[in-house]
Amino acid sequence: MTTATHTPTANPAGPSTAAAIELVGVTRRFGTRTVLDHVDLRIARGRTTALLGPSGTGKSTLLRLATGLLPPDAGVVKTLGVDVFSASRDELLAVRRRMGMLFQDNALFGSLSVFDNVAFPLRRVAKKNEAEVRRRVEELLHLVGLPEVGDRTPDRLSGGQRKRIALARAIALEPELVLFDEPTSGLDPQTSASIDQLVQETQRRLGITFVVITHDVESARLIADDVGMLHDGGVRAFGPREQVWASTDPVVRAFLDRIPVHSAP
Amino acid sequence: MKRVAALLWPLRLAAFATRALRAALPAPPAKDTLLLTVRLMLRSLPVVVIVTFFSGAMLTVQAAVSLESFGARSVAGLIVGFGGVREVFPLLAGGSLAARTGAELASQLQAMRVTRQVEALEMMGLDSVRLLVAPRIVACILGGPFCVLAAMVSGLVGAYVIGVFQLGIDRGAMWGSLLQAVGGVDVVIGVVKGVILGGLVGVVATFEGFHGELAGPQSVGAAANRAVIRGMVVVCAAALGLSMLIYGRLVGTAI
Repeated sequence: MTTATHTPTANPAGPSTAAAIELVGVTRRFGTRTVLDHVDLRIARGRTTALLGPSGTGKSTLLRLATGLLPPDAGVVKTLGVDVFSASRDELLAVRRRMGMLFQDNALFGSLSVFDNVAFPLRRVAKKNEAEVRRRVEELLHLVGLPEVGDRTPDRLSGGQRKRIALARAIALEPELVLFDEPTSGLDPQTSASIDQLVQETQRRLGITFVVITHDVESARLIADDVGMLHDGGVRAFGPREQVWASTDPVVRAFLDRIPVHSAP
Repeated sequence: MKRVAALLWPLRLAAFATRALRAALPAPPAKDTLLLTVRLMLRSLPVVVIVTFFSGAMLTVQAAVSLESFGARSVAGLIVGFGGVREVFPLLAGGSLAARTGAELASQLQAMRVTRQVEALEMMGLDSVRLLVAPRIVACILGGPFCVLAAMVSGLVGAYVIGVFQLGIDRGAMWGSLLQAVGGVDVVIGVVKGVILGGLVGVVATFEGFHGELAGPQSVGAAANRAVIRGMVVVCAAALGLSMLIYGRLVGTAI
C-alpha cells in the first residue's frame, strides 16, 4: 500500500479542512497492467498541488478517477467531500459543477467562437442572462490576457492562447477546484513559462484549489505549493514542494534531476 | 471476445436508447433539436430523392418487362405503386438516412469524444447524452417521415417519367395505375415507418459515435463506418418486421 498524506499548516481557502481530493486504497488496472495500486492520497484545499511522474505512471488516470470519468477497480475516491462512485449521476454532475478542468488538448468547441466557448458554461450551466454572460466573459478574457480574441475561433489561436482560453472557460463558474492535465505539454519554453505564471497568478487571485498533472519538473517547481510524485503504481513522495525537492530518495532525485532512465536507480 | 460483444450489441443499443430517451424528457434542448432537424433534412433529402427517383424508374422497367408477356404493360405503375410506396421507397429512405445522416452524426460525436469535448461537457456538470445524443435522435425521428414521404413522391415521379417518356406508356394509364395502388393509409404507414426507421438510424448513429475504442482520428472513420453498416442492417431488419406486422396478415386476402 502506498500512502501519501499531507495536511498543510496554512490553508488560504479558509477553515474547511476537508480534502479537495482524497483517494483511499485506490487500485486501477487496464487489462493486466496495474496503473495505480492501493493508492492513498489526500490533496489539501486552497493550494496548488502538482502531481509529477514519468509518462504512464497513472497521473492522468488519477485525474480521471477524481472527476468520476473513470471508475476505480477498488478503493474510494472523494472529491470535494463527495464519494464520486457511490454518488448518483445527478450528484456527480453537481460536484463536477464545483470543479473546472483544463484538458491536455484544451477540448475547446471548435465550432464556437472563443467568446461562446467561455460563455458556454455560463449560459448552459449557470443560466445567466446575456448581459451577465458578456460581463463575465470579458472579465475572464482580460484575466487570461486575451481581451481581443473573443470573435475568433479556437483554430485561429496559438497553442498558448488556446490554453489561456481553456483556463478562462475552466474558471468561468468560479469553481472550488481546478484540475490541469499537462498544461504546458506541447508548448515552447517561453509560452510554458507564461502559462505557469498565469496559473500561479490565477491561483493567488482566486485562492481556490489547483491540481496540476505534469511531467514538467520546472513547471511544478514554479507553481506548486505541494508536490506528489507517482512512480510504479503508487505515490513515491508527497509533501510541501521544498520537502520533496530536498528528498534523498534516489527515484525522486533521478526524476527531479532529469537523470536519463538507463542510469536511474 | 468480439463475438460476445457482437451478441451483446443489441442489448447495449437498447440500454443506450432508453438512457437517451430518458435524458430527452421532458423535452430535449429545443433550439438544438430544431437546427439539427433542418440540417438533417437539407443534407439527406437530396440523397433520398435521387436514390428513390432512380429506383422508381428501375422498378417500372422491370414491371413493364414482366407484364409485357401478359399484354399488361400499361398497369406497370400498379406494381411500382404497391411495392415501391409500401416497401422499397421507405426502405431506401431509411438506408439513405443511415448513409448520409448516420455517418455524419457518428463522426461528429466521435470527433467530439476524441478531442475530449464530450468529457469537457461532463466536467461542466452537463449531461452529454441529453445535450448531444437526445436532440440528434429526436431530429432523426422528426426528419424520418419527411424523408419517407419525399422518397414516395420521388419514386413515383421516377416511375412516371421512365414509364411515359421512355417506355411509352399512356400518361393517364401510368398515373392512374400508380395512384390506384397508393391509398391514404399507405401515406400514414409511411409516416409511421419514417418515425421508426429515422429513430433507429439516430439511435445506432449516436451509439456508435459515443462508443468504440479511442484511437485518434481513425476512431472517427471507424465510428462512421459502423454507423452506416449497422444502421443499414437495422433499417432492413426493421423494415421487414414492419412489413410483416402491417401487411403480413393480408396474405391470402384480397389487397
